[in-house]
Amino acid sequence: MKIKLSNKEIGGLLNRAAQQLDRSTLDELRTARQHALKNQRVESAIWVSRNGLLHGQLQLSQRALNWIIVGVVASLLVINLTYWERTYEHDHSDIDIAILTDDLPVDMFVD
Amino acid sequence: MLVSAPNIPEPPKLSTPQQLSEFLVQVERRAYKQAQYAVRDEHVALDIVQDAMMKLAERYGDHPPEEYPMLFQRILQNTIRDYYRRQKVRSFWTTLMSSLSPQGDAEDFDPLDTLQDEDNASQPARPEADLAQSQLIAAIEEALAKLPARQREAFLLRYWEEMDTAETAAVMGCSEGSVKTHCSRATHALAAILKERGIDLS
Repeated sequence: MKIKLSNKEIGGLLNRAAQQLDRSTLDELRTARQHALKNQRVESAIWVSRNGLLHGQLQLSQRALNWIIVGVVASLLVINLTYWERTYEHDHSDIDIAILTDDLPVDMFVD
Repeated sequence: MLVSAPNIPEPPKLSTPQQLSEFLVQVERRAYKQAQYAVRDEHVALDIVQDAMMKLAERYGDHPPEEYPMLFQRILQNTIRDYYRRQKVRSFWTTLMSSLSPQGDAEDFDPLDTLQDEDNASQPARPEADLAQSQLIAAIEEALAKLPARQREAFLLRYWEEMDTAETAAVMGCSEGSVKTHCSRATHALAAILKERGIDLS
């Protein structure tokens, strides 16, 4: 028996073949899809000024966002440490001045 | 006096995870079959599709959904080509090493030995008609597997993915003329192979 097919019909038959995949392959495809979706690049922010002078998109990957967060936390730590160090030095200089001017408060002798 | 704000072109609407998920559900089976026709190995085909999905999600996951089909096809075809390249290098070294090692222990390998009779979830309701269709599909798949890679790629993109010549050329990274040539040769080659099985390709 002769069978006649067009290219389009071949496409249809291939679609049918794609619908007949076995269960394990479908499971693996689903796992692959879910894995890919977990790593989807996300839109981080859209910056558009109200007057329309500046507009555009800031598109960052999850990894870049992570690095930015780490950078911000590290900067805050450095700023805090510097502040505490200066405050500590400042406290000491007050005591030094008090000793030199012989003007120590009574509390200092209590300890 | 009120001054109207200048017309600013709206940025393209970016996709949501839901849209990407829907797209992947829609294309994953065909992508797997395409990869399988190209590499003839189920596990490698799955790896290729997984790689392509991951690349699409990681690099272009926030692009508008309309761009997904072209991007995904391009990534998929490039991943298949990368596999060919790696295979070429591997087979070069294998040939080199085997020519240095002593011969004689090579076992005959019959691909039929590794074929599995797997359970099919979509068991046919009309056994005879569906058996005939399965045989037809098997003949087509066998013929497709015999085509040169570029011809198969062009044929599948044009007649299965229903891309036009320009889109196919963009995915394949060649001119529209080349796409037409590949498609024409693929159709002739397929017709010749299928004719031996009593199938006329018009």
